[in-house]
Amino acid sequence: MDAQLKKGLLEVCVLAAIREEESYGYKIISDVAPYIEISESTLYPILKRLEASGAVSTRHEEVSGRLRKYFKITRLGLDKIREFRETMVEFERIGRFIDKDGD
Amino acid sequence: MTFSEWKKILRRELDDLPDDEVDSAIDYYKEMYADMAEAGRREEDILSEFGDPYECADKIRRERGFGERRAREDKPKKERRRFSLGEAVGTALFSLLIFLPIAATGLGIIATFIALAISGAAVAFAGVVGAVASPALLLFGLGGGTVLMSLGACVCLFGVGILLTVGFWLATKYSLKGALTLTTLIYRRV
Repeated sequence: MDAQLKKGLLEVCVLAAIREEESYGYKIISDVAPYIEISESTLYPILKRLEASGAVSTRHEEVSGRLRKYFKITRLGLDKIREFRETMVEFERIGRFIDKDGD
Repeated sequence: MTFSEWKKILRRELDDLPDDEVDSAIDYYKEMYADMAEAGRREEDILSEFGDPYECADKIRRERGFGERRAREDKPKKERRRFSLGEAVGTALFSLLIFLPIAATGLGIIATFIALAISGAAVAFAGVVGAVASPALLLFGLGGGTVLMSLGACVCLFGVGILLTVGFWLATKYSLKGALTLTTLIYRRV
């Protein structure tokens, strides 16, 4: 898969993982990994980018005597998912065209 | 490698970045490690998943928009000088004709200082003995005035002896120090 394409996909997948409820790093990887390859070192910059762009907000909570960082999707993050879904509809349309020509 | 070592490498590889960036990265991996360990994963498996800390650092730099690591300023290693035969002969001649006579004179001066310090101690001791023995002069029919004079002279002798001892002891100490410094300087020049 193209690296840039995968980068974009991963961002949306991470947002999708926290769409219903806030989550934390290890859980996000566990939820996303069955669908797309993602590693701890890949997730870190994605989370930083999403936080910097305002797509997620963060908070810390003490769990088992240590601090855990939770990520929660924002309105901006939901808009990103919506834009992605619109893009996917476009891709499907173009894909049907490509397939038609390939027949 | 332990996780502690892994973290140290990552921190070192990012140490030219702002502190909050470095702390954020370290905190992320610490939290991830703790969660994975809590889930029953072994340290080596976790580190295997994390990957090489150098590559992690590079990835962080790339993705976060920081440039390549600034090269650490390495101190140039001092090159060991190799002496040629000519230099070795020259050093030996210098030692024989110039350095040794100077060293011998210096040692002689230091030995003199030590001898004078010991003499000073002997003078001080004589003063003490004389002061203690002065009252015995009365037994020889000498008057109190003579005894007092003898006592005074002996105490004076004691004081002079102390001064001589301390003075020449200090002279010895600083002469030795100076000789060592001079020797080192001459050796380095040569």
